[in-house]
Amino acid sequence: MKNLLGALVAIVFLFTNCSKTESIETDSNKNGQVKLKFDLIVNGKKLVLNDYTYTNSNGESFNISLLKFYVSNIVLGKPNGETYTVPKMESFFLIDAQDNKSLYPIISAPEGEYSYLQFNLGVDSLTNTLPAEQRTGVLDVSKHDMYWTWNSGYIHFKIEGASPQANTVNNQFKYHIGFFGGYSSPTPNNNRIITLDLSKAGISKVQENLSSDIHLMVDIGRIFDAVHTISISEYPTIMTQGPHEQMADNYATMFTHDHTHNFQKIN
Amino acid sequence: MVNRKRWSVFAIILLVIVACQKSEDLNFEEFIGFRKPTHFPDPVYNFATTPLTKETVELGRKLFYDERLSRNNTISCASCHISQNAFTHHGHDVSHGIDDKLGIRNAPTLANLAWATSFFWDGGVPQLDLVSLAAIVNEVEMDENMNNILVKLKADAKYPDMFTKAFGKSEFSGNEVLKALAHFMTTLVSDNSKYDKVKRGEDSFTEEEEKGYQLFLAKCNSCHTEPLFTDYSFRDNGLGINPANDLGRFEVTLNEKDKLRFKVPTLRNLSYTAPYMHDGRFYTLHAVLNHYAKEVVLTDNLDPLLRINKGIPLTKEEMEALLSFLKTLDDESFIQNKNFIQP
Repeated sequence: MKNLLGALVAIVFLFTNCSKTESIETDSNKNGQVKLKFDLIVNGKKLVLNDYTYTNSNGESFNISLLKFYVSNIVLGKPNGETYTVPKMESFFLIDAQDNKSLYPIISAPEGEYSYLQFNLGVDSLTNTLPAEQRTGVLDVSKHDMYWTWNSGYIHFKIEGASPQANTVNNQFKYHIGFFGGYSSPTPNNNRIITLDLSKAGISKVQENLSSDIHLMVDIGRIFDAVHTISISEYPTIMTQGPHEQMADNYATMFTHDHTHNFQKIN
Repeated sequence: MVNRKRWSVFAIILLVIVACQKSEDLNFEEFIGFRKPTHFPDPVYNFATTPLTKETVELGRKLFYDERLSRNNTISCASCHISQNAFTHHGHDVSHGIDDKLGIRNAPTLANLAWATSFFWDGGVPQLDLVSLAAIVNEVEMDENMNNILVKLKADAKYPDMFTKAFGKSEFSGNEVLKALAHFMTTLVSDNSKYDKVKRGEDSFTEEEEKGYQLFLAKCNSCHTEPLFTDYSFRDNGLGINPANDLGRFEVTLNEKDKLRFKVPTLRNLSYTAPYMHDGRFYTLHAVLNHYAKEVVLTDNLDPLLRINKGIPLTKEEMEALLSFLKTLDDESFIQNKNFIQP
């Protein structure tokens, strides 16, 4: 009988060994790290400020000297519909092409397997109405050149560069896209919510003391050629005038999930 | 009765063990070694000095996946040359080696190395037998030296015996380590793409692929010469200087004419090997074609073939046709080959 029991244990053991242990034991009371990696490219070519030349579908060539945008309200979702919303004030990041560190926002999330990622591009209307003293860090209105006025609010997305086709001083183009809906007089709202399915290129597996690195490709070329086609020669400047809503529709399509590295050591 | 019970329990255990094995392990794997594809030229690699055998190749394969080749035992050859990505480092413009240090060049594919006349983007290494050493001693790659590696390998339970069987002598040195790695790498032959099947008369191109093939012959083949899809020459393809100030072949020859010249890479298995170019600046093939069509920089040493039209004029339709031809160079059986994965 003892032998039989031993053999049964051995069988169970073998079976356990057999199955690939792809899924992890999770304890939602424990938190692990999630690192979002924003790889900036322009029509598939690496973004190098001031240096590399790019072309849009209108055949207009351009380079880029400045690129910043806000990422906020980050949500991680599970296949069963459960979601984890990062606490609002820990969820604001300013992605700045000039600051390499800003391209890798780090958040904390409960252990588990997440199959989609959602975030807002911009600063939402609620945050745009916060008292000034609560606007710290990347939301500090005087620090980052990303704020207009109380009615037009934060600049969600800012890009500047030069193009021979831009008929302006130094052939510059400047796109500063803001508007959250307006404080006292209504404006358009150029916040855009982006939802990315992680299940095809690798779900995010979060575990305590380890990092799940979600690599995203951000194709800036989409601002000219996506839902709408926008020409530099026609619109070298877009701020409160011009097709800012169209550009917002376009920047909402910039993001794709490329791959995920799970269980990475945290340095 | 007890005996019978016991017997059946063991039978079940045996069954479970057998069921456990992945099906491919049950298939008898024939050792292929190195075989020249019929439509390829003769290889350049010298197989005459040391015979390539099952033992040298298996030893090389084990070494290829061994992290002990690096200073702190964290980086193997396979860290940056992943078989499922045709032995490139998927998604990385440049690779992170030891201590996460970054290099300045994109990890190239290791397919069809027996035909290569030089190695690395600048051709700085002339022989496959010497290739591995360059990565081993590079301070941002493996940062190790051969003496330390030999100490580690000689203390191992399996290696001394494997070296003896492979090279027929009880002592081994760095030369045998490098030779075994080279032998394994020569077996990484990619010759089973749709293109190859068409060349062997086993398949045929679609209309779009044929159109792309004709465009390829007219506009690309002079440098990316079939069937290996490179002529192994060094050329400046008008990318301009990059932020790492990488001058390419010049760093080896110190000849002004070699500034910004880089080795022409093969076009095989492109679907698995993004990003592209010596610095991995292009993440898509569209971006690469766009470069040749519209973004070529008129540098001092720009290749004469690109100077004529300031690049390679391509219409949108021509690009699509070229892309569908380039897809026929993907060799699924190469990236799935079980002989290439971690032993």
